[in-house]
Amino acid sequence: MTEPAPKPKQDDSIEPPIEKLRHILWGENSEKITAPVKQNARELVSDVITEALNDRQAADKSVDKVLQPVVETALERSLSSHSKQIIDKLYPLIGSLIRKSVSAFINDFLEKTNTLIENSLTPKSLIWRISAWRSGISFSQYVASKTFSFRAKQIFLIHRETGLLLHTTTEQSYANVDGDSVSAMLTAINDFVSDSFSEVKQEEQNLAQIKTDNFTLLIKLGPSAILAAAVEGSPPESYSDMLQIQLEALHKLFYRELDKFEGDVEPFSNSESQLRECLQSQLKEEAPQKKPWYAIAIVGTLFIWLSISGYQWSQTLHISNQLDELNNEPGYVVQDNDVKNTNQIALSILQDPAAQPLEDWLKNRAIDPSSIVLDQKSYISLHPEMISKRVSVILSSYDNISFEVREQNVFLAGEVDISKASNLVRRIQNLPGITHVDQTKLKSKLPPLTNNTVNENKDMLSNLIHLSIEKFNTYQVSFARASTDLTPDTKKIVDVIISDYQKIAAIAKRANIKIGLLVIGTSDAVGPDKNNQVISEKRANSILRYMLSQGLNEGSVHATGIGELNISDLNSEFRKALFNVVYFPE
Amino acid sequence: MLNKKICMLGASGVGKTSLVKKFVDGIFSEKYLTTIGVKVDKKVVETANDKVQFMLWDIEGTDRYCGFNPRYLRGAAAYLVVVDKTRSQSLIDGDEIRKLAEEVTDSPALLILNKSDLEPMFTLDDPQIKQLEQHFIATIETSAKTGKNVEYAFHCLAEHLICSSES
Repeated sequence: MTEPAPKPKQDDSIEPPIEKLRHILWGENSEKITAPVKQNARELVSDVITEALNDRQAADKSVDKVLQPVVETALERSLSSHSKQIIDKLYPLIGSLIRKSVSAFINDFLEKTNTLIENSLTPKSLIWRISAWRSGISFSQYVASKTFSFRAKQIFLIHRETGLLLHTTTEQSYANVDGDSVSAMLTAINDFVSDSFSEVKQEEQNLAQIKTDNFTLLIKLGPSAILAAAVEGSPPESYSDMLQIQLEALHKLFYRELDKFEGDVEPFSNSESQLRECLQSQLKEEAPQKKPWYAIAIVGTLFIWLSISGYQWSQTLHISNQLDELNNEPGYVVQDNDVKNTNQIALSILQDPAAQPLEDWLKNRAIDPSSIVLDQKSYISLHPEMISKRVSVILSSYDNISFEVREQNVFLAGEVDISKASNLVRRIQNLPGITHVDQTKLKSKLPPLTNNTVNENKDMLSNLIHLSIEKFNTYQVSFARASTDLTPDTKKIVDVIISDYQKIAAIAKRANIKIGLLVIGTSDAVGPDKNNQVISEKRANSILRYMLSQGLNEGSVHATGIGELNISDLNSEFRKALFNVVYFPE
Repeated sequence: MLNKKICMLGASGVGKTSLVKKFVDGIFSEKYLTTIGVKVDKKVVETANDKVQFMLWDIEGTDRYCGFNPRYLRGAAAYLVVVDKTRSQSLIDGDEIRKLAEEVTDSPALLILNKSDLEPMFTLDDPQIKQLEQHFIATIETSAKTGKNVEYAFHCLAEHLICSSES
């Protein structure tokens, strides 16, 4: 049997190997080891510095904190010593940033303007504005209620035990309500409900939601916190589930803070992102629009009816305007011209019987007479054209007579049968609107001789002579003061008298009627009566001599003077020779 | 800033609501008091070193025959028991309320002797008061009518709560 090997006794004087190694590395002579490392330190560090910084930053985020003052100091020094270079480098960058910022601003401005216009000027928005006004809510609220099926306005994270508000977040456009008071009151109401309606005292009842017409307060209860969402519209079930999930996540995240809550809400400001996620909204799906056929039909019919009526009305107005032109037509006066309705005009006119017939006038202008309710009265127009027409009607039965109308004077020219002449003149003179008929250019002629002249009716010839000799009363030859000589002008008149007398003499011969021409000289009342008598006789004789020289038989003419005329209106100027035809039937 | 829930307790007519009205401008109508039995108001109180926001739960007046809803006390950092100095009965009621409150919370409480502007029925030296104020961190005489000590009472409470939360 061998003895077991004795256990080696530990000797304190002998250094263990690890201590020996430590001594070599870090002891008095450590420089021998570290010196060669130091020589290569730069290379060694440069190999790993990037990775090392990355690892350390990932591990405890301490690198950026350490680097921050270094970078700041370096940047400051750079800016003060190399400002020009830095400005040059930053210049394009800043320019680009400014452009981007301006561009973003303009885009935002345009978008807002567009939204504003869309929400302000469309018919839909006007209707919405009226509806919002009637409902007593603001326009923006009404737009939101119409646009969104639901929209979370504000989210509250409330400490369940105390009812204190831990954090709240609101939708951008929504006016923040006093979250602290609302949270506390909400908790109080929940307590009230729970206490009032729990059948078993231990069994806690809790409000899950409070709902009004268009507003819902969704309440999610957790062990330590309450998540409440103020929602406009009707949130779907999925939104409620999402709130529950967020509440659970918040419990996990803020487990410690909730558990040891003593009224310090500061840590809960980190719940902002979770609460903001709950600020969801959902746009209303536009229902596929049905075509409002009935409305289209009614509006269409109305539109067509209005178009037709409008067209008819404009046509009628046009006709009415045309009818006003009737005032310019000779022989017409428009008294009234009213558009009764879309296709009828009440026309009241005065019409000269000699005027162009109204039917013709309408036809020339393509106006339908059926559209006119006519009230027509006759009148006599003094328009020269109307006078001409009336004269034309009389002269239509006479050949070779022309006429001219000037300022209510009718000038006749041509030849007329001596038996018809005076009748013609009388008829024209009797026409309305005529003050004088000039017949100096109207020559009277004898009816042509026929074979049965012998058998001519003596009465007819006698009448003819009667009519013809009336004309001699109208002939007068004037003399200058104290003169008895004939001027060329007066000779022309005397020539006409001679001619007429010869015609009458011819007719009288056929009728066996003896006639003679009487020439009567007169004098004015200037001077002694005796002298005036002599002058008047001389004037008559002067004409007699001329007549004889022109071929009248001496025995057929008798000249005499009657001295001055005792007619007060005439006696100062009456230096004349008058004519008369005297006759004796067989 | 700390947020604290403070409850106001006391018999009917002792002046709780008047005290709160003197102290804050609330947003809720007083009809909540008669409908759900509580109305909440907010007030920030500044102390020497800090600020604290009080959520004041004004709980409907109660008496021995009609207890308050103990749920309203849940989570309260402190509560005030208000008694009417002109009515001895309100002191008895106050003691009853204190007992009820202590059953549901161990929060610190402040005894408020209100209507100090009127002729008192009891003084601080009365044994009844002496016996009662042992249960409170402080006893303060106030007048909601003149405003006497109203701010001071809440200020004391704020100081106390800040100190206790720091410790």
